[in-house]
Amino acid sequence: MRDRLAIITATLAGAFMALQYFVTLPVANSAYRAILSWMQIIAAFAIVVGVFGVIRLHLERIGRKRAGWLYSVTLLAGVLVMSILGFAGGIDRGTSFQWIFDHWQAPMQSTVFSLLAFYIASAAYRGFRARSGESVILVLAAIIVMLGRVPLGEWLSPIVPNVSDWILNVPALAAKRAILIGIGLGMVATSLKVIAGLERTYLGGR
Amino acid sequence: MGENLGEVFSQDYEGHPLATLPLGSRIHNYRDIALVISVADGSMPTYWVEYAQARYDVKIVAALTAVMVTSYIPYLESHQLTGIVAGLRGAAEYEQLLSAPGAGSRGMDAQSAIHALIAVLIVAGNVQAWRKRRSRIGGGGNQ
Amino acid sequence: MSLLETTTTALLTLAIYSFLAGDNPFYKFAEHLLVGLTIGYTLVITLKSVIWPQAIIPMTRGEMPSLVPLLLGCLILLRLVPRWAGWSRISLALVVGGGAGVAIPAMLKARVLDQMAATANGVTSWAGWIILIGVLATLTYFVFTRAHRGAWGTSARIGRYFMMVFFGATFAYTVMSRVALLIGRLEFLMGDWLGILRS
Repeated sequence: MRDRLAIITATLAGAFMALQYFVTLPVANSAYRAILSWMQIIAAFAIVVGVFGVIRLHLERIGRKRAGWLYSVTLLAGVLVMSILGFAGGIDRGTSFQWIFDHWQAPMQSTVFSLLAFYIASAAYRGFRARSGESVILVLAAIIVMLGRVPLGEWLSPIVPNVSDWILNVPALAAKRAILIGIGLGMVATSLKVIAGLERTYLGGR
Repeated sequence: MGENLGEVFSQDYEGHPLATLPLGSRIHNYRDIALVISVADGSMPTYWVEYAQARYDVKIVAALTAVMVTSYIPYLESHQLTGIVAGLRGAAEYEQLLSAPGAGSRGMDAQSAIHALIAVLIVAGNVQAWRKRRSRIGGGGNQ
Repeated sequence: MSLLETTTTALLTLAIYSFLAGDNPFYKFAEHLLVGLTIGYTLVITLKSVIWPQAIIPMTRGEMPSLVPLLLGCLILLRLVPRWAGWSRISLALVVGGGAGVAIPAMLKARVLDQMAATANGVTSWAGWIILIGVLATLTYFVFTRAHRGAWGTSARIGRYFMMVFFGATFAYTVMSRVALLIGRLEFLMGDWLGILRS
């Protein structure tokens, strides 16, 4: 019964939201806006569920003194500090919450992503092999665009940035456009299946 | 948002009600916005294109991290995006336009050097693999 | 920024870079701290910018329609209670179904029709013709219900060449992106922290 109610909800909400695109009635428009706002609120609650799930997992790890439980203490301390600062002191500029974001969180995040630069350099030497026609094309496109998008390319020859621009604006664009069209059609098909009640994996994989 | 901005976002990031902001009192929906500039490191510009541009014909410029650029060029060519600021190079170009060189322009020499290094590593790796393969084939021929 | 401020940031940055020498306690500490801070940040922003202004405040004003999303949100919270977790599917169904409905016209227009129109309108130049051939060839590659043999196979193979160019270009831009971040971190460490670099 519960699952049937869920499927009916998905069908009605989906059909209405899709058809509303073509309707200009004010009442349909305000219902559309209300449902969009509800979806946003539900998604926010889902984030809260996720956060509590992680907290519970780490509390369990600490409780059972599993390997690395001290790191779980660090993680929970991070959650606690941000929550207390955010709820008690506010999130405006100049608050401690914002300070931690600017001086710890954001720099650490960009450091984690920059780590990849080292691995890319290592992979460039060890894995970027031109063994077949296709891989030769891949390697050449990578080298030309890499050099063409920095001042060095222009210094080498004005041809390098021109060829790089051509690669980006013609063949690479064509492939990405086909991928976009393919994904678009795929998403439309999946959405139709959800609305028709044929796609039910969101109910828990049954 | 196409009809009423305030219904979706009643306040700004710092919690001030939209109506109390000087801009908030003049801008009600997409029709009042000449250009949306999306500075993003995720898929936000895609949502702008798919929901705001496709339905309300809003002009959108995206300032992207470099890794996203190739995915957005088709939107630029089809005029679904009005412009792109592409990664650090785009930032440097923007600084040049403003005649105010900053972090973007400063980073270009280092960026050039590391790109050259990676290109050299790719070539060196391939040359080494080719030599190894050749010596293996040569060795096989002697057997 | 004071020296104390930059030093805490620098130590955390170095702790993450220590991963280059292998997994170690400094990296693990920084990694867990980062995850914790990000979770806390997300929680505060979600509650303060969505749940509080859009669900709680309207309810305190006595706006009855605001009870609906609040109720649906509470159903999602039931996921935390294994016995009643199934009820969250109703709220989930609204998000998935509603999202599917919103996506159909948006995807059709932005990703399919507008892109096809741009491809068709571009054939006034040589580049436009190459794009048209590339788009069609790449699309044939993604048709898996038909064997990639004969003319169809040739077209799919051409499509693969186009995709290789795209992947190569994307690799180049990925390099640019990660290197830009590295430059930013090194500028911070050597400039803002140690003062070796002039800005």
